[in-house]
Amino acid sequence: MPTRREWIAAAAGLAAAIPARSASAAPPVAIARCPDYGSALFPTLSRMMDQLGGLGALVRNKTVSVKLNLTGSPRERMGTTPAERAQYTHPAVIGSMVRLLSEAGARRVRLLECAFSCGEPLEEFLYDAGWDPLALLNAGARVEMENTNVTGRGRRYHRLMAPTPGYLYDGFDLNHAYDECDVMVSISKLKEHATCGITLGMKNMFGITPVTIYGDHAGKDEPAAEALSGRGAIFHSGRRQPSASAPQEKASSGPKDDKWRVPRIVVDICAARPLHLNVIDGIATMAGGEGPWNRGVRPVEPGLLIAGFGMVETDAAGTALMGFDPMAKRGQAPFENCDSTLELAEARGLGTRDLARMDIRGGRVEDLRFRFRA
Amino acid sequence: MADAVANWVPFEWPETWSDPALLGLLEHTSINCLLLPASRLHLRTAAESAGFVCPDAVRWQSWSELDWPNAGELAAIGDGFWPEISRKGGDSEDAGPTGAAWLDANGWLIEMARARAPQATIWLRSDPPEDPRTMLWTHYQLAVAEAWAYSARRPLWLAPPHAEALAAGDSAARHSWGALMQALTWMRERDPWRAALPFARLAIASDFTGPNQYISTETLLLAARLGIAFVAMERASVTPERLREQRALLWCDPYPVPAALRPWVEQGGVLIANAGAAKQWPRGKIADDIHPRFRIYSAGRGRLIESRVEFDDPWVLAKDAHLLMSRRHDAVRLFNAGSLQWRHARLPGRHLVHLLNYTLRPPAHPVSVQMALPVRSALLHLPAEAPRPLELRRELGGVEASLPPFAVYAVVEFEEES
Repeated sequence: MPTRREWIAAAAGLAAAIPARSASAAPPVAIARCPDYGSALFPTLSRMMDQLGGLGALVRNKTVSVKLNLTGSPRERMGTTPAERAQYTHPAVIGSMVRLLSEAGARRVRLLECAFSCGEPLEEFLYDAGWDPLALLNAGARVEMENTNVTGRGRRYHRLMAPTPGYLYDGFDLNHAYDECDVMVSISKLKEHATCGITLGMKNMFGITPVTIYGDHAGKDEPAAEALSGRGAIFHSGRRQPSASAPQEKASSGPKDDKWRVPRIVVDICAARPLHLNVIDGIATMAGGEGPWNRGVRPVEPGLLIAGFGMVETDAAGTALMGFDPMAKRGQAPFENCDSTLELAEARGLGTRDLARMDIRGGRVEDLRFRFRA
Repeated sequence: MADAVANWVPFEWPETWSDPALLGLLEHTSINCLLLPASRLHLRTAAESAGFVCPDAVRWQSWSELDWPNAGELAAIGDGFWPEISRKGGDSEDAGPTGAAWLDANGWLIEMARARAPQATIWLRSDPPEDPRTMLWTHYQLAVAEAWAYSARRPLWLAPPHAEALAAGDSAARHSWGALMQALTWMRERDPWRAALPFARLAIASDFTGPNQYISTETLLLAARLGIAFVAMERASVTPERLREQRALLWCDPYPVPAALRPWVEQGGVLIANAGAAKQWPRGKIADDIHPRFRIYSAGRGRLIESRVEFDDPWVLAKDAHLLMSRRHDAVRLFNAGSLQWRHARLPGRHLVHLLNYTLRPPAHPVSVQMALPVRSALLHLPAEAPRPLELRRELGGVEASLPPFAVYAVVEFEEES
């Protein structure tokens, strides 16, 4: 089976030997009810992977990189709700997926995140959240962790260029683990987002960009030695360019408005580093925003899991399960004040957001829907 | 009358108070010691008749100049900080939850003082804030509670506008004064807590003086700001017996680490030594040679971690020491505690987590205290209130208690599992 990245390359005519998907053959998406992170979780995820056709063909003897969603400080909570039941991917989902990937024959699994405002080992970041990283490292045969804000085990940052021109960026300099892998997986959280309306698998990839290059304290010419701060100055507001050593933002007549910019940058990132597998944890999460720092957020328990090989399709299914129309445009929920990442990704050729063209397995959206704005 | 210095609860008599009748404001309060300004020494007789201790001029000194080994029964630090959120720190970028306000806090200083003069009573004062007109009465509660939480004392001081309003009988001032006195009474009722010793897995050792002063004291200050629990130790006093509760020892000074500490390391301790400080120690296998600032050697079941160059950046050093020990050993984690400082202290069978809120207003989200040690119950203590049980729930990192909103100071008392 061609990988997603190969498919995009093929579509751009850059890998003629690899057949492109036809527009009508949208990759399937599996959806399921899962009430909690207990004993039902692993069999549910396992069944979903089977519904997708199995993981073996995708990961056997491959290096698999897994981007987690650990946004914000591990010490910050929405009220008394632990991060894993609100803004962070739950470790039980991560561990279950590591086990499934490993059992499907993955040679190596790397768990990755640009940990909030720091360059410390990811394991230590997890301890700070009260998690036990050893449980994740022992969930599969050869599991590693890396904080991708810094070069980590690589000696340098790696450049990933999209096969087609981007909206604002044609490529990015990233930690080696996003390049030195055969399969790219996102395990994100089902959430709304203050800037992008929703944050699922694709928006999760915004967090693969190292703050040493794309953060507010990024070096001017070269990546900063220390990883600090968020990505406000460069990505959100466009007040400055990333470190000069990295691909620069292209000239644009677009507004310096993060609700216009960030959806486009997300799509640019996903084009440069496409996902092969998109898993979304919607069992216990939050509504009203992506983190405790948003006003009016609240804990919710949709009891949902979503997974698929197509990043746009999977996010579209997740959007529908949240009670939104994935075909919505700017001005319509959940994109009242921002552009739709789904629409931009579809226009970029990354997949379809049209549920009518999608093959959704495991249940019907209308039966499982959990309205985030009930 | 309080006969021992340790029991004195001092008050800085305001310059503007000339009427002995104002002693009546202190009746039936915990204050038993008056620091009279030179212009008000004529009040001494009346004060002493009323049962107050009026010590001769207290010798306030800079902490860096104090003769710590000969401090006597009272070590009076005159150049602490006025506890507050400073306007000089923090990250100004507004994208996402980055940056943290800088706190002018004194806990690190008291911990160092305690390490250097363990038998002395520690008093602390500071210059008043730049503009006392902006002060709230709750500032005084924070100032007094901060010192008390670390088993020291700060003489109660009133800004002139508050002192004058109180003397004039202003009803709001009297009400606020009453609340402050209640808080002092509440502290007196918990006097045994002052015997609690700091509990932390990381020890930071130095002689804290001369050429070693900057790196060691700044490391204490910044570790406290980073929320890293530590025990400060006078270098000469460090023994394996004193390190029973510790997983790591940061040896700040470029001074040989005693060979007597080797058994502690070989039994699982982590020694983080300044460059050259452990050069006499036999080297085991290199466990990690990719750390940019340290070489890490195996030493029995423990680690000898040697700095490649002399320590020079206390912010980096504090973070490095914590990570080299590993956060897995942290006994306490706090959530939503951005502008709080905290101190973990232990009494037989009990753990006290003191929480000081420098914002003087309740946090937007409730603070949760996670305890990784085996405990079976928790009590919440708020000044001037009766203690009440806190519900404990089990989370991934340990048992947790969430606190109701509090503006200044709270203590969670955990009872150990027997």
